[in-house]
Amino acid sequence: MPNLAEETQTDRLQIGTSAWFKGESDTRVIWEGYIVDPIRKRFQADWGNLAPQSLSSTEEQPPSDFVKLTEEWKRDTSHVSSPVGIAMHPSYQRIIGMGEAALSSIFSELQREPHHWFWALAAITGVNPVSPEDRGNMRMMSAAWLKWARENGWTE
Amino acid sequence: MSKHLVRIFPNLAGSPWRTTSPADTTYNCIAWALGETQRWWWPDPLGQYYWPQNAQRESTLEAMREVLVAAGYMECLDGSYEEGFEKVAIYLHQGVLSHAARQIPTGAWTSKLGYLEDIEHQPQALAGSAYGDVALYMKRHQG
Repeated sequence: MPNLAEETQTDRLQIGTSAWFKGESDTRVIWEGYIVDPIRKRFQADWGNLAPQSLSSTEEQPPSDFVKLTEEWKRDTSHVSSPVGIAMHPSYQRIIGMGEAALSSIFSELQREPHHWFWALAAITGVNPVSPEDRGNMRMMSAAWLKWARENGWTE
Repeated sequence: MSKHLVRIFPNLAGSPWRTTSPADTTYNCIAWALGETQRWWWPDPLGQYYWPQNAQRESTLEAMREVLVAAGYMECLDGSYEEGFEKVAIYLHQGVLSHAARQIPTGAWTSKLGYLEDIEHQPQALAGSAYGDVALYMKRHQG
């Protein structure tokens, strides 16, 4: 019997890979398809098995999957200027698919360096704590998200 | 020489170029082309990044042209150096805005490459599978 979860994940990643090289009008639609629950739930389940304590402290080592996906994402998008192109990378989408289990690791990354985690954070949390006048200011955007993380118990 | 950049932009190898800054995640090519290093400019659909308030928020040549016209630029034929003018080159990849570069007084061009380094280069040296090709040159009087 085929594994439905595996097939769903594979299909999504194939769509994502092709979408990443297509126009933004297309990727926007496919982006919406990425955040469907079957993928998110699957990765949340896997993530929980790998690192059941990962939500409690930013001082812990991030799980190896997060590290690997982050490395792949940065390796492939470092020259890209479009935040859409940066966020559509399959590895970034898999991090989004981890859901809340990825937040502690993302906030640890943000504490180290301002980076393009904002799309993932907005997708996972459903909020955007950045004030309109700080749009594009990577340091201020990072600071706003780290303040939100402290206020909501994700970091100390 | 930064080999990682030549891997991404193989045409760099055929013309003079040099790295002029360390990698920086806080500003991008459009900001750099317009002389800014404090913000990341992009017309992203979520509205998370900086884009002039009244300009179209689309990754199109038209939206980019609109921003440049508001900044005092006018269209020009090519990237040849013209005394008294500052030029920018806009790149499209498969019809989508991908990159911007600015001409410097030596006649060479300067680019911020994503969240990597700034480099000086020839315009066509960045053409290829990463950024596509130059679709538009615009110029304005040097301030």
